[in-house]
Amino acid sequence: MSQSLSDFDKTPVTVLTGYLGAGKTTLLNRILTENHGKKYAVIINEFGEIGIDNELVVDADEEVFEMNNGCICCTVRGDLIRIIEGLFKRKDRFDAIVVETTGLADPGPVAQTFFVDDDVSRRARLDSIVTVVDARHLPARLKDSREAEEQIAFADVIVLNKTDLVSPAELAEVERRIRSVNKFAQIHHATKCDVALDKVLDRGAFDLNRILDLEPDFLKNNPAHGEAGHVHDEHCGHDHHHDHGHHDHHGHGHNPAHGEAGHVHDEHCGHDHHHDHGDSIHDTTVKSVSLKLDTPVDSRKFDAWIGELLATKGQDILRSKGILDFKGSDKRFVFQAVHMIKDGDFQRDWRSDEDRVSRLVFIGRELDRDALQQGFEGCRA
Amino acid sequence: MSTMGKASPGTQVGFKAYLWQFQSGVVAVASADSAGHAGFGLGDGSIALRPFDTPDAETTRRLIAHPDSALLCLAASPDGKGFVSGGDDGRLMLTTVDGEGSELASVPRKWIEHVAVADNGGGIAYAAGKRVGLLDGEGRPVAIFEDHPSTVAGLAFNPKGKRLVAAHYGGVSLWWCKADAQPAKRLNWKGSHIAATWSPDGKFVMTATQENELHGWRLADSADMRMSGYPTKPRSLSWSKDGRWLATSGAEVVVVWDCKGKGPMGTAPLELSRGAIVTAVACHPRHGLIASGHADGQIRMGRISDESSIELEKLGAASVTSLAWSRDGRYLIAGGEDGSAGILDFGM
Repeated sequence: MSQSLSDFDKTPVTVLTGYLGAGKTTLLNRILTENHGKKYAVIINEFGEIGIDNELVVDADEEVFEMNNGCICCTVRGDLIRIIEGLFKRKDRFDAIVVETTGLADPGPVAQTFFVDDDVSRRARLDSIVTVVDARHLPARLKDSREAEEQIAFADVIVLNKTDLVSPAELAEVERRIRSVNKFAQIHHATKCDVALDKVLDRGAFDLNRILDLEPDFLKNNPAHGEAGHVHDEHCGHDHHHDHGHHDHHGHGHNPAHGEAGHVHDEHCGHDHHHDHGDSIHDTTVKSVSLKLDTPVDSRKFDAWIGELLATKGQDILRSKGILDFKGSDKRFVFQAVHMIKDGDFQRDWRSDEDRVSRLVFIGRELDRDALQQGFEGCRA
Repeated sequence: MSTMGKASPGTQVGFKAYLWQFQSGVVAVASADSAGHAGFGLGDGSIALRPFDTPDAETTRRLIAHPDSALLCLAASPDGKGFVSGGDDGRLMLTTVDGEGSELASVPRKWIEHVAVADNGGGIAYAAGKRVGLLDGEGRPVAIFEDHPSTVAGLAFNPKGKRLVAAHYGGVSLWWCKADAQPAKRLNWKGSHIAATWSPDGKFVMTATQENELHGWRLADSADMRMSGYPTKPRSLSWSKDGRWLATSGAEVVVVWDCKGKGPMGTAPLELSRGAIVTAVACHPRHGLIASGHADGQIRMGRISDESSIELEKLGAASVTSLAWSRDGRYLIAGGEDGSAGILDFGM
């Protein structure tokens, strides 16, 4: 693919998800009416809850298509491809786009649309996925709905709404549950969706240069935004490249032998796996696994391992992000993926006062922490 | 502005080029032959007109077909005296060169994204979501076909105007152009089909797919044909006058498939007019020539007989979105994503 995920002259797209009644429409109407000087095109689903007060509102049908490329997790929103192309026939009408999904939508196809379709990625960039959740009802939703869990798993920003309806203890528990699913999302507490809009819009959550600014929990050593060393435009001028896991599909069935570098522990490798449920709880199947290596990583071994991992497990791995210390480079390598679609680039120099530690976070189902850690260990230089 | 075409060895093409720029991007162009006008459907909902005989700036007129909306598709009307257009206001409009507008159909809260007019002038079809509406040549409603598995993303009549093909996810649906209740004939192929065309001899239906392929069906036995290797979606499709060749966009050359006999699958296509990615193609209505518009705004012309090509004009800085010939083959109409527009007059 010729386009980079992080190209800032493209129109930003914010994806708004959340279960019915969580407060999505309230947030959407705030985005549209507050004075921020931007004109939004809003793509809503057919069964929208209440009226949206905006000049440019488009009804979408949420037509989820499987790409005919042999990969069942590579699904896109066919309607979004058409709508975004149509909107750009008259681009003077808007500066940014908000896509609202139905409460039951899986955010995966929406996210993948922005990376799989060249005509869309030429014009628009996914800015962030914002999920609104209801503090009181989330525990019940997580019990009965796979979608509620996926919406949390995919989120870059979570608006934890209606916090006034729960006790501090309940709130802490809800937050713990969210964290068990998604370690890297930013969580904002709100009542009536009264979160500051700059916490929701223009986040650049899919921009490699900004990923790490946004994740205090993910990288504890990371200085706060605005501190010295946290410049995120210093490498914007160089070429980015990203890669689509499908091109690696010939790698299927070529899992290196057990014990070799790059081996992936999957259902074919014939030994028992210890399923570590440390982070998960009974009623959620999605969890976050974070990994760490404190010695440098061999970039070729890492490419081979992550490529094979995402090609074979990308259906279960919803999102992944990482920062890597590659041997032979003084720059931090930043990595992210949505299912099998991955993107990586060298970012700024490592600073003398920071630990050169490589970290990876996977969010997904059926994640085998031991196997992942072992695979990652195999990437040591 | 007028220029002479640059000649390459063995090829002499003389033409006058009139080039200009609109504020709004050109979505589609068409030729209203009976009225002698070129039409430019613009993103701002208007249709700009220029007469072929005096295509100067002062002769340009703007007709607002879709107020406060975007125009999404355009075709010449069946009588050749105006244009049929669809917009994101959900309306199908007939606009004559004289400036008269009438609404042919309205589909509230939907976009009319595709319009097709039968070559013999016998019918008009439009697509809005899963709906395909069929009108007769005078614009009177004939039938509505709703039975499509997803939004219709491509629409074409067969050469005689008796049948319609609608492209969608999972393949195409074929309909008879009559009011009677009927089941769709489905031709299936996995994936999303985003453009459709019917071969002039009626034997093949071809589609462009989301996966950068050309797909085809031989109607006699519903056999599939699959032609891949495009770097982008081959969404502009144009047949040579004799029906033998299918020119396609989507690569850095115009890829031209030989569709005689059993069809193009397994044959090597001709490759004409190398340059930036081809974004629009239009076969000359009389001769074996193919005009192509490219992603860098260049317009080229290729000749099938010897696979030669020449550069005609640089239309603008952005992609050429649409090309159309006047029916007599004298004028080539072109429009670009950045609002660049032109008429090339070969009648000298």
